[in-house]
Amino acid sequence: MVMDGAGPPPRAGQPGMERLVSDAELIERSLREPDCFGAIFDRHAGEILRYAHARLGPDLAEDVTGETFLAAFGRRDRYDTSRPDARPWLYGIAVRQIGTHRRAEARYRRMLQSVAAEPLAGDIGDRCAERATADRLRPRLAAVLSGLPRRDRELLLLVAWAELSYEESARALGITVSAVRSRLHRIRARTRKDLGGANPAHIAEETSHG
Amino acid sequence: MDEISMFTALRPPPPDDTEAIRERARARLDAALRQAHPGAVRPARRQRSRRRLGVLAAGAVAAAAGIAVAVPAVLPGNTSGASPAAARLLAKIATAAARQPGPRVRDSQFWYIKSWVAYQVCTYQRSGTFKCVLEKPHERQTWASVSNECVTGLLREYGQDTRLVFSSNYLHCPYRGGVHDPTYRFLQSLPTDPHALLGLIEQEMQGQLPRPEEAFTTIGDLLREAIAPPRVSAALYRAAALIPGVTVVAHATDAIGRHGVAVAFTYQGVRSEWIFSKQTLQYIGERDINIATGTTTGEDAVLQRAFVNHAGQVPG
Repeated sequence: MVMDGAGPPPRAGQPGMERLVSDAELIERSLREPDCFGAIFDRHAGEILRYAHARLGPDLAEDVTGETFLAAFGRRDRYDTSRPDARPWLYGIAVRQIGTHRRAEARYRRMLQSVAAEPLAGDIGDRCAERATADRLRPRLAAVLSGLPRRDRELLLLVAWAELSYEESARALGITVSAVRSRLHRIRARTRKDLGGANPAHIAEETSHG
Repeated sequence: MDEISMFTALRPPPPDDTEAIRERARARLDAALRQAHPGAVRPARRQRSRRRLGVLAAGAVAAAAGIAVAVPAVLPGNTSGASPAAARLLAKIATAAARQPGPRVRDSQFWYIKSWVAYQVCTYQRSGTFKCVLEKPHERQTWASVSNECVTGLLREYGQDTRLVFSSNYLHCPYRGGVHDPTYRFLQSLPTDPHALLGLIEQEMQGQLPRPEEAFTTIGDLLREAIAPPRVSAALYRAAALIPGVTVVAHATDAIGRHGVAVAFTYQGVRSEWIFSKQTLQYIGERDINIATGTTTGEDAVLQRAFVNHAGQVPG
């Protein structure tokens, strides 16, 4: 996808004038032509849906995805059009929507925690060593996740599950990049502590033998 | 292994029926999109994509993205202004405009502009591009406060009323006004010397478009859905005569079939025509035409302009 963020608008009946446009341009254009906002949905709804599903499970994922894009549409006039990519903005809205379902989220996490104790079916043969290590740690990691302060958990999951960069996570949560770094540092330290040692690989050994 | 990436393994797998869920969520958004109307966010500006996107446009970037960018008919290197025929016509139009009686207007009033319009509506294709069609011609009525006191205006279009909410510029009251969000009081304050007026307009253009195109569009916006005092109207036409690349189209037809003579500017294959009555030399509307295909890409016929006492009031 070309993120050029600029260029002339397409004109009817001019072959060769079609081009890809940035999210910022679509959002700006949607102020005049609301239909253009549908394009923002088409580009990013899959990703937001996967994230909402990972956070809340199937029942609420649809709701949160729908509400996220409705809320985004409602405040599109406040979008910072100097940002070509709307993903961090959308995740920020999704995080707030998810935040309205805290009880459901806690329930879903507890459910995952119990599932996490069971081995994953499937790709055992070609699973890499790191993945295997992590799998053995799953129940304990799930417990760490549940024990984190809410703000830290939101950040951790944007990085680990939504795979946002530090800069993108900062924009989504409305905090500075240095705040992202210091919070992640704190989360790493806490994770190490909760897992009972300084070296996750070492812990994994202990876990697998114990 | 980083502690953060260890948590990635905890991410539950995606839902099985992603597509079905997406479609349902899209249907909800579509319902909201249908209820929203163009122009609902900022006051009184046309949903003319050229202006809005023009602000972002940069030929070099567009070219890098693989688009053929037409070179404007005349670049600023030609400083002689409009074509001689266009300059002569604009001078006559300006004289006619200056002779109009100046309205007596109170701060509490609104200007009322009724027009018959059809603009290009672009829908996004799943391929990542736009498909643009001319919408059905329809009536559009706007009311905007005379004063700079941030009074909410009204847009009546598509069978719906929309309050014209103030743009962020309006957060400071009284609003100082600008060529992109004019009020009558603002237009009254403009210089009547055409060079000074064009200079002010160019100063307010943030665009990176070739200046002649942006200046022509900005003045066109002020002619179409605004009411300026006669002396300022005249100055706007005289300022347009200073823009290189402005030409005359001897026979033009507006959105309701009225014939006239036009002052035009061609940019990227689209000719924008300001159409004037041949008898009175008054502005009657605008039409944009794709010169390669001859198709209309936007049209706007002004049916009525007046001052009224409250937003929503239709002059008798």
